[in-house]
Amino acid sequence: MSGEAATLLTDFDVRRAGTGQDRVRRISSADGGLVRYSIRDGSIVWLTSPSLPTWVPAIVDDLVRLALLGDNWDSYGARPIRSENIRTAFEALLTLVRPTTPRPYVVPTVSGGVQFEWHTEGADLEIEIAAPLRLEVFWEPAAGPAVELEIISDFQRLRDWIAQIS
Amino acid sequence: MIDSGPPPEEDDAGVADDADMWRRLPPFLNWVIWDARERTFRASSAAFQNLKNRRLSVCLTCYAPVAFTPQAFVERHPGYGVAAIRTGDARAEGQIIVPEAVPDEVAHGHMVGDKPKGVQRALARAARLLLLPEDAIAPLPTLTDQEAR
Repeated sequence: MSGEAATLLTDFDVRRAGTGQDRVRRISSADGGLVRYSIRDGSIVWLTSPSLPTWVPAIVDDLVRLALLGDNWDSYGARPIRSENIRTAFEALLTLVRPTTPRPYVVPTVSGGVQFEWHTEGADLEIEIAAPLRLEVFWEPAAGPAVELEIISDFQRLRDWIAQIS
Repeated sequence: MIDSGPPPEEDDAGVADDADMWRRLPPFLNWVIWDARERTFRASSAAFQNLKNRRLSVCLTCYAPVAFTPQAFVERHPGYGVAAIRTGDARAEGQIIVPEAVPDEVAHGHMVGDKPKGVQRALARAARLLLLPEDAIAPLPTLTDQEAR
């Protein structure tokens, strides 16, 4: 952060039973150009650019909200959302979306994962990050068969689908 | 002696196909989404993901007290919504219905079966929203940046 004119937008401590103190921070430069987002043992730094949608900072807020969820957040025994899943979800989103991609719903899953959902007139796309480096994807275009698959390394098909809804 | 494990669970044939099962939907977490194609709010597929042992907790309304309401179902859970799905729709997705009363909920049961994403989505689409969670109207992330400009 050295050199940047940073504005602290939110800075608060998060406590979860049994996991000690987590720290969640969002920092933005004066022109909104640099955002740093840290969860527990890692951090994500990226530069906003014309290649990123303007809703990205709002997604950070959504993900921070998920990081705050404790045990049983659904009243049925759901697990807290794993910070490594939040980080993976965020990094995957940044590498996949286009400037014209609509904002996804950010949805917690009971197993401690994160799910992004798009429900457009042309297609439905759901991406669940249930564990780092493992994306479970469901694609259903308005015309054509649905596809369900697990993606570990090859993201090209997913990029193509996101291009179709963008 | 061979341990054959617990006996296989059986579908409760006493629960008719047109009986409703209810599930609570927490507020402020996007468990209710806007389906642009169907032009309606519906539950997210995440609302129908198993937690463990292929089980999803539900309220079997046919075993609930007479005149039990969705509002009463979430009385101790402020802001929650309620989704309902017909037992027959769940069975059509390979699920079985297993009653399992708990102290605070005599009508508690489980929808048991594998639920890959396609099944979660089918259940979500078959479900009706009886009570919207507190935030359901607010988030409609449909504008693209291009449209916003």
